[in-house]
Amino acid sequence: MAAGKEELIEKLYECVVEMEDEDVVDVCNEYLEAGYNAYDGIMEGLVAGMNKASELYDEEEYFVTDVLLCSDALYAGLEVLRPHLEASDVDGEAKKVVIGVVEGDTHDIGKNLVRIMLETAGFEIYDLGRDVPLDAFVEKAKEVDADIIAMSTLMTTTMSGMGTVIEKLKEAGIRDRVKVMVGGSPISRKFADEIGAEGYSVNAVEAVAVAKQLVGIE
Amino acid sequence: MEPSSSHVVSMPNVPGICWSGSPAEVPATAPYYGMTEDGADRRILIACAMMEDEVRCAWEKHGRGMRIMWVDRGYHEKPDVLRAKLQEMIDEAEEAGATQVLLAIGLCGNGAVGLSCKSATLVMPRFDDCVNLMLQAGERTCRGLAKAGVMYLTRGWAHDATMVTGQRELWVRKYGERRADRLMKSMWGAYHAVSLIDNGCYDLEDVESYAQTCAKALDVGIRVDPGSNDVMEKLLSGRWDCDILVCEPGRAIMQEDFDDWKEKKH
Repeated sequence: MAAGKEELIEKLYECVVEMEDEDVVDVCNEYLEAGYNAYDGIMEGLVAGMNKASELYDEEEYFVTDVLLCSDALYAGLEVLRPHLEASDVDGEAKKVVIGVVEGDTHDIGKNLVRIMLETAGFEIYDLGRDVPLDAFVEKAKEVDADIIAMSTLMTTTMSGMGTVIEKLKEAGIRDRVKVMVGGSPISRKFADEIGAEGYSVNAVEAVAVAKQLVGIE
Repeated sequence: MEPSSSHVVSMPNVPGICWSGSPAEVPATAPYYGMTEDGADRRILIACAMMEDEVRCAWEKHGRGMRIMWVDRGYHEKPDVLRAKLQEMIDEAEEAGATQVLLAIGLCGNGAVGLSCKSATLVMPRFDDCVNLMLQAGERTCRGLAKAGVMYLTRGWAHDATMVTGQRELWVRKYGERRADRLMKSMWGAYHAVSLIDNGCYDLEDVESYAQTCAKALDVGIRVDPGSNDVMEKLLSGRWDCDILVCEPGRAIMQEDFDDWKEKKH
């Protein structure tokens, strides 16, 4: 007898929490073959599982490495289910975030965690990666009409680049159209205020709340 | 108050150097900054063991007579713990009679922010970390000299010899081979070179084996970058210029102190 929808959704959830990036593909295929709705599988299974992983990380039960492996399972599952979303499932109003580690720094673990959390929360992410030239943040924000630019760095030598990006946004005439949020080990609320960034968070989980607040999502 | 000769300091095992120091050992070329009218050296150096070689070289040239308190390596990963440890040691140095407390550390993820002396002058290199400090030679040109994606090594850094290889072994045990390799890519994939900083304070051959292990684990090449011990020598000799931050008693170190001096000028 074929597994029920709730049972398979529970399996999808567990695959993400348990970091099963290979098994999740089989479960997704089984879920689709049974004719169940892809959107429900994503939101109630994969995304719910990733939210649980975030909670465990926030509670210091999961390490960064655990979260990264959970996200592998999340993305592997999304690759299977996403092509089967119906037009009505796709939210055309998703807020856009351009994210990256500023020029001169390649430490991107924190940025990757924020990207995963924001993506899971429904934001549309444009990940520029690490050691990102400062102009690239501005250019990408203009190109995709971004709602938020999110920048991180682990190094005190490169943090001033965040302020430069904000100056460049002003020069490009789009400062009032995009919110800026910053984070990373040496970054403080005080620094964020000094450079004129609207958002600052101390960790990846809090970054979601900050991003939502910046774009007016409840 | 004379510094107590029984003051206990943590000392590295470097032959030929009296790490406790005493006025009798001050070279004939003295006086220098930190020496009082009675000839006593009232400077105390608080140094990160990561830079043991560099501190030793500068001490031999400019610091004999100066006592050293060593901070264990590895605190750079925990700036808040580093800050607490350093302030505790600064207080201890002042209680021992220091009129100048020299810090051989960097800003280290803001680990130095907030440090202050009550009655002594607090002096430290105006550098974000020891890698940038050791890469500096000659006139200061910019704040960040370290290149992104390069794993810099000295003999001090090579003491953390299990940093890369040990991590993979741990992940293999926890997650299996395939996932460990995936994590290695994620955590270390940004590195495109291993660099030995040649600052003349240690024999590069001593680090070669570890550098090769790192390079193999990261699948990158090895190179040698020229460095110097200029900044450490400035710190210990009292030749303090824009590379050195000098805080009068009661004035706390601020993150802004490390902004590039040329940027500040404009």
